[in-house]
Amino acid sequence: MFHVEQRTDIIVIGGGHAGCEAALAAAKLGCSVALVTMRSDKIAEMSCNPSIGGVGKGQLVKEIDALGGEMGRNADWTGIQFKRLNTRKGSAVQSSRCQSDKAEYARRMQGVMLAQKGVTIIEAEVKALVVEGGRVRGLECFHAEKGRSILMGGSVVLTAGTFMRAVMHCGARESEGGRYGEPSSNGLSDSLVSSGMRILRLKTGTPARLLKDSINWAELMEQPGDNPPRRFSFYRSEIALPQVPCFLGYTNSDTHRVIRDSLHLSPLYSGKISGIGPRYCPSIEDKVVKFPDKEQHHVFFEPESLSSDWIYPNGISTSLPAEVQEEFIRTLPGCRDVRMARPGYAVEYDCLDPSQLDHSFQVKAVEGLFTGGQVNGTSGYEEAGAQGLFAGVNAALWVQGRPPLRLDRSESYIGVMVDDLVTKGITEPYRMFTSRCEYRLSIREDNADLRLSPKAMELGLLCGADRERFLNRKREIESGRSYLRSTRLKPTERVLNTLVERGLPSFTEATSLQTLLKRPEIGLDDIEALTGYQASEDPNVCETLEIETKYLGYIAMQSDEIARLARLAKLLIPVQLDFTQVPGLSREIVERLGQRRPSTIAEAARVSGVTPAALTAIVVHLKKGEHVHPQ
Amino acid sequence: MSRELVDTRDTIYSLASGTLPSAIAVMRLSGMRAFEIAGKIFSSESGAELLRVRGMIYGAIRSKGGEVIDRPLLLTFVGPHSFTGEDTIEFQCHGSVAVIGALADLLSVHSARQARPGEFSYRAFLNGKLTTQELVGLGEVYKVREGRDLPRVWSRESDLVVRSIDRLRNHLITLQAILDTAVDFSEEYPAAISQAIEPLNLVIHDCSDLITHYDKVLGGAACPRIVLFGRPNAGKSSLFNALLGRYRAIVHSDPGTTRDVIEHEIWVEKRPWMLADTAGLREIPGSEAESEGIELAKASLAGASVRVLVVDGTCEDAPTPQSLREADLLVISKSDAERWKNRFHGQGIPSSARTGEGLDVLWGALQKICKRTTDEGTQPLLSSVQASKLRIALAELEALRSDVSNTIPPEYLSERGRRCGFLIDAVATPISQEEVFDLIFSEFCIGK
Ligand SMILES: Cc1cc2nc3c(=O)[nH]c(=O)nc-3n(C[C@H](O)[C@H](O)[C@H](O)COP(=O)(O)OP(=O)(O)OC[C@H]3O[C@@H](n4cnc5c(N)ncnc54)[C@H](O)[C@@H]3O)c2cc1C
Ligand SMILES: Nc1nc2c(ncn2[C@@H]2O[C@H](COP(=O)(O)OP(=O)(O)OP(=O)(O)O)[C@@H](O)[C@H]2O)c(=O)[nH]1
Ligand SMILES: [Mg+2]
Repeated sequence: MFHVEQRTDIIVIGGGHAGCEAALAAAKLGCSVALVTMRSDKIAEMSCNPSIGGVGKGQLVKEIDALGGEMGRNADWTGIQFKRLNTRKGSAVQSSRCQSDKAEYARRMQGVMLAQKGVTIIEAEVKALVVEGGRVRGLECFHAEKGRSILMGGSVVLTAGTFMRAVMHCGARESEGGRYGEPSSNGLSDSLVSSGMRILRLKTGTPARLLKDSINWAELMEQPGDNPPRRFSFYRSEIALPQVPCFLGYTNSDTHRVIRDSLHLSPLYSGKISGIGPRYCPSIEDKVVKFPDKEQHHVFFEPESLSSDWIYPNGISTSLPAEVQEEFIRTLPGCRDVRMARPGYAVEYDCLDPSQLDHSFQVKAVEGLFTGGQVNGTSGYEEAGAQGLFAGVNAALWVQGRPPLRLDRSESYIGVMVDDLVTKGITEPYRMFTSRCEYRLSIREDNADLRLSPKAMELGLLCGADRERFLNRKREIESGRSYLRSTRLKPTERVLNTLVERGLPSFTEATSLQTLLKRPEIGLDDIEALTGYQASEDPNVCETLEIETKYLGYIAMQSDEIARLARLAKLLIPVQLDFTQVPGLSREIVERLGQRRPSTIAEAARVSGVTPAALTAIVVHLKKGEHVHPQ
Repeated sequence: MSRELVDTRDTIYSLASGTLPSAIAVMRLSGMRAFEIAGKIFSSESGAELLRVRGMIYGAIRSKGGEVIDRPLLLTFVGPHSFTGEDTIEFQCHGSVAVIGALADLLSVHSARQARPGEFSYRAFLNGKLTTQELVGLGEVYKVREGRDLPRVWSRESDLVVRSIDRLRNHLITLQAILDTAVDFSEEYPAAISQAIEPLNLVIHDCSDLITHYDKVLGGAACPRIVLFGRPNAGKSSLFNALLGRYRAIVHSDPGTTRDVIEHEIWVEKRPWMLADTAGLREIPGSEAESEGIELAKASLAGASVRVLVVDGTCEDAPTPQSLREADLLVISKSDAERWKNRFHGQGIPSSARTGEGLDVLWGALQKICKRTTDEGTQPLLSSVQASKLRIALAELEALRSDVSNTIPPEYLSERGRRCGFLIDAVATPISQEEVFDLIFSEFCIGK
């Protein structure tokens, strides 16, 4: 018997990292949200490594935070080791990372979800979408005790992660399931296909978990975190848990021999796994086979939680049989007598071809259906969280009849990710790298709030105290900028002495503080010593001032380009435009544009082979027909 | 991705006036480096420096060797107060093909590049100088047309060029992979920036090779040739001078004046050609020197891409059937003269070197033929656009090399490397980030 439950504004499918951000954001925008997930105790579970952030990913976490999302704060409250990566590189590409207490991470996020006004959590499996007339109306759920039910909603956000038609592989053993100990979701991808969507098959893997007291830690190298640790969040949060070290060890020729001798037992090499895995995150089998010359590979031993004795050995994800896993892990330093808490495994799953989405993450073929996270062909918590937030916001705006949130490539990593996924599709699970971002000198961790929080405020995602905090920081940065620009320092004797004391080169003419700070060897602390000027008590304000000054030349060049692109991005190309009707376009260009269907002139400019004359011709044509609506 | 559309940092030039020859031709140079480049090739009459101010200044354009190419009037515009919104300089030159050709090449040497069709209006539009409304107007005036790319055809023999372009591209990918790895995978794969030096040297090597090749071809024998031939006194040298717009070959009423093959670069269909004047052909030469001249003329004719037969319209002597067969174009000269007569039933192009009559028709015909020849792919050349892009790339690469040795943070280096990757798009497909990742993931052991 079906029973129809009450209608909500938004239904989110899946309580992973994407689903949580989606539900929270939609609720903050004033929508009623039902989060349907298979097991409520697994909400915000970290399926794989117990850490948040990393190069390229830290940037995403900061952007989530700047947009009022929860991931950064949650990572702060539950982090047990924090580290800035790339600190020896220029500041533009520095990235934050932390080890999380996996249990605490999920528990705190579950608390936040329960506390969020407007969010209702429903434990059930979604079996199918209800689509009528090309528009999603709701879904069909199944619950072991309550049976089948229909849930109606204004729009649906799909964040089913690695669960759709998921199969886990461990040696020859194959079982249905999206994550260790959890069932897979069957039916949902069939329902997507029958609504006209294309499905891809991907694969990912995770290493075995080891028991802490079976490892001889003395044989491994201790890797402490930063002291003092620095938070992710621009807003209210605390680093609340005790900080602990990680440990480092290396594989050796014995490890590689064991693996090589057992390759025929790996489903990756026997051809049983057809899903495409991420090349940047190879299994240990792959590393040994593809890089036979490498004598060792590193393995980081990371604690999963302060309250458990599970250790996550980062670097040896595998789908070899459990016995082989144990055998090769025992060749690692400190692991002679190791006991596995759980073997590693690979998982194959269905995802959507993301080129079926528009730039607001709405599925083109089904009105009202938004998708985010690993179902869009990405991997990683941060990628998932950022997309979840984006999809959740847009689902809410759509239900409310407001224009969608668009994030541009030139303003955020999220914008880069959305644009990459939507315009290029994927050939392997997509992960963020800083080199995907053309503007990474101006799009940085330290200024994520300056870039995105104004949008969050406008939408209503940033509330009371956080708004104040943002406005304060912005004010301080702006006044710091103008002070540095307008204040000139004369090379008086006192100034020159201070320079000598600090081992800095001297100068001969009155120079602006900004020009001085542009020099690589001079920092704001030096400026303070020279002039007594203190930009702010907030070290983050000083950091931003320092970084942006150092990058000034480059950034000016980039902002020029950004301004020009922005002009183009505002010119929309209507979906129904028939390029053959545009006078002056060559057949080849008409064909290419027809295939890619760019939605703005800026996108059209990125289609290869399109010339300035062609763009001008399109603009002229659109303008004639009054098709151009600046957004 | 078509980088040129997005990348507005190049300084570009293009002929802003109509077909050549004309009384005055306007060459427009626009971009960040317009004043800098103009300053290098132009010296004012008064000796005043070329300042970045709005103005008008008279002076000389000189070739690298110091030879005066033309004495133009310069109009200078400082961005944003210009058509494009960028710094812009207009060279109002004498409208001869030789002058414009030489100027174009000079600009390329200084790393400006030829504008693509519509690029000026496009920049104006980007810089907010043109409202869409105005663009509509422009579109109607100029009939915005889709410009065909310059031919990227390589002659079958120039495998060598093709191969070094391939190599160059691969080295660039390697270079970018090392630079990006240093940023994105420094934790897992501590690639030293110094490793970038090797591919960088290779890229620079290939790049300068290609440019050298271009320069050699441009000045050397491999350049496609348009040869003027005919009987002595037919008016070949006069026509030669008229086409070049300068007195280059001796004109004299004595038959047999020209002995050597006289060549000069000329621009037709946006690429350089050699225009050759030859000794008049006759059975009984007046001297041994003349007979040697005739041999040279025949040899030049044999290697010609386009053969123009000049027949004196005031003379009864008919050209030999063989020369008629060889000719791609027939010109009946001295059409201003009273005794002029077309003995070819209206065929051939009547023209006068003295009054300029018919020269435009001749130009049109030459353009058509040259274009056809180009399309057939007989040109073993990089186009000037390609060469100038390569020059910009080379300058960038060299700057990058000094930065790599100077402990500049890798993200700067990586940005510059990426720009080089785009700059080669005139000769090869621009490098995509995916290709860089492909190399990183297959060559470096990345990933925890
Ligand atoms: C074995 C394994 C290895 C991994 N390895 C890596 C790695 O090496 N590197 C990396 O970056 N990332 C890795 N990940 C991926 C990482 O876990 C994900 O990127 C991230 O969790 C994705 O978040 P998500 O919110 O999109 O989906 P998930 O965290 O997978 O959450 C999906 C949620 O949806 C629910 N759900 C699914 N279907 C239904 C349904 N029909 N009805 C109701 N609820 C449903 C599930 O119960 C779950 O709560 C791995 C994941 C797994 C499982
Ligand atoms: N009226 C008139 N006379 C011309 C014209 N072109 C050339 N002449 C005259 O014809 C004579 C020969 O001209 P050249 O240009 O030297 O002829 P050429 O073909 O180069 O002769 P050779 O070098 O001896 O083979 C000269 O006296 C010119 O002044 C023309 O267009 N009109
Ligand atoms: Mg002569």
